[in-house]
Amino acid sequence: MKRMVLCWVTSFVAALVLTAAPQDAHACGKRREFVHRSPPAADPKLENVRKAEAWLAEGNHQRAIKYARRAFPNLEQLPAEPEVSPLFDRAQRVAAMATVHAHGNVDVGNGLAGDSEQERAVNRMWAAFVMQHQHARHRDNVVVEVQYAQAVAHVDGLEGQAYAMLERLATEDLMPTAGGYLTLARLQTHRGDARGRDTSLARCREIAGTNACDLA
Amino acid sequence: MPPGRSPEPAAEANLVTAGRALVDRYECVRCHTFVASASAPAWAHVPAPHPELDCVRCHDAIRAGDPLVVPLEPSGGAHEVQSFSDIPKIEGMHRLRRSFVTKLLLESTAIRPNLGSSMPRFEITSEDAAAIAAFVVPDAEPPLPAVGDAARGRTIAGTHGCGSCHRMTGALLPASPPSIPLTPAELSLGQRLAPDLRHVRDRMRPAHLLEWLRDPSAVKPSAAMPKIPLTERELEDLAAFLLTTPLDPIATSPVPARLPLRERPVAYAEVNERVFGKICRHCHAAEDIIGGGGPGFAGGFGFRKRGLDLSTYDGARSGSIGDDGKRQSVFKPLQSGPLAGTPKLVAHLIARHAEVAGTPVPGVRGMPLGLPPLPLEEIQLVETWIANGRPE
Repeated sequence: MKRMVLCWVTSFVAALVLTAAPQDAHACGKRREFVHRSPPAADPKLENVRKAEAWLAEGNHQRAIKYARRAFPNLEQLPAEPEVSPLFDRAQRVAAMATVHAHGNVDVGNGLAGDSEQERAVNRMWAAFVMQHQHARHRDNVVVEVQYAQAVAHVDGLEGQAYAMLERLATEDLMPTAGGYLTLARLQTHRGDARGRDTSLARCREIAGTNACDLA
Repeated sequence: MPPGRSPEPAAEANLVTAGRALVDRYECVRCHTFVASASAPAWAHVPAPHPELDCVRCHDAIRAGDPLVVPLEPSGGAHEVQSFSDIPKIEGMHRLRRSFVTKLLLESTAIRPNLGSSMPRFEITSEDAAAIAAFVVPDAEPPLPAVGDAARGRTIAGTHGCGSCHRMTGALLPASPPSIPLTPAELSLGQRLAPDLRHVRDRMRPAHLLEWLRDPSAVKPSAAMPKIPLTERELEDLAAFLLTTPLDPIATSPVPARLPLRERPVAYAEVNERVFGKICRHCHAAEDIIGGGGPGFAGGFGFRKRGLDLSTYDGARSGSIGDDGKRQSVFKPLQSGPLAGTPKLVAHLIARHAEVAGTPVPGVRGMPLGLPPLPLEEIQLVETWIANGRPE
């Protein structure tokens, strides 16, 4: 079973590496969080996605995925639903970024629990593949672009692509998150760019403080 | 009668047609209601906005305590956008000079001193403004009527208490109570909507001014101005006063000086609480927020899509889409002009003070768009946060 899943995921990853990003589908619904009709109907999917985002922010990656999957049990699939919703996108991004931050050592529901380095690598490639599609759907969203770059940065052989994306955003002062600077600092370290690394870490600390910007 | 003025001819048909399309493009209905009438049947085809784009009526509902509308702000949200109240309906527009409507669209002149400004300063050409004006005022202006004695008109204005609701900048408008009984609510509404009478001579067509003074609701059924019993001669005298009494030039107010950066550190939470979350995100939010993120995100009021999301920290750091279609940081200092060296975001906030002072900054649109400027202390807060490295 695992071998089949590995083959399945690997074929998708090949598509990730070899093909250009798909055209922008731009499916934008309305989240109705700004002003809404009351009493708002309890939306268990929305609640689960919010919890998933909160767990991701807390650094509990497996629990973040658990809640994201509770909202959308098939979120590991691409394409997952006949009509992609903004809420689905949020849930899938949580799962993908939890996978990235856990270095692939999570079970995203594809049958790979991250027990071996091979499984972890496949999980990281799955996350990059997901984020490639997310980026294609949200071309204007710089946060998604950075998440895509962070995911790509964890795929062997694609670090240069991630570096180019993040370096451009940093140069143009468009990096929206401390995590983006931290990933850039890591890539700069690998490239032997100590000065660039220090600058990126300084920017990271300006945003989020010292504790959140540790390269170790 | 204002010297050198001739009646306006009927608008050209092709201009009226073009204006109809531009009313949609500039989204006039997001604030104004077009009331069709026998003299303006085409307005029946101006559709109401989608409820999610209807900023004014939504805020009206919040203010009225409508339990079906829940504001995002815990405070209730009503106080932040007080200017979105009592927006005049587009009705009985034949009374207005087309040239005034054109100028209003180009300059967003605030004519109601007690209402607070809320008319957006559009990115509009003089041709587009003229076409919209042609659509809302297509008729020819009637011949100029005979008017009476301006000195007597001033006395009449004082006797009937025009100054209890109106101001007349640059001229003496005698203050006295209204000559007819008004409820507190009627008086309050009148004071909010009453235009500065200085603008009457540029704004109103003299023949229709007489009709208006005779019975405002006959010209505009939704008019807040009451019918004041006047003889025909008193009407003519009052019109003469409004149209011809000498006006002093308007004193320009200087642009207030910026405050220096604060010495204490400023974090995002404070900036969001006092500025971004309170004002900016009404127009600059994420695409999946109600209203498609607002005109400052998705485009609207004739503005192109800018993709600026000031509803979240990440969004603020993600910049906006420039004229070249590429994203650019809103923290980047301007390269030229009177605000060179100022972060773009701060420059827009300062530019609103300059607009209100009558000295717009070329190339920098004042924000918040059309609304009263932010207090200098809040601009200082934003500028300090940016200078601090925009910490989260």
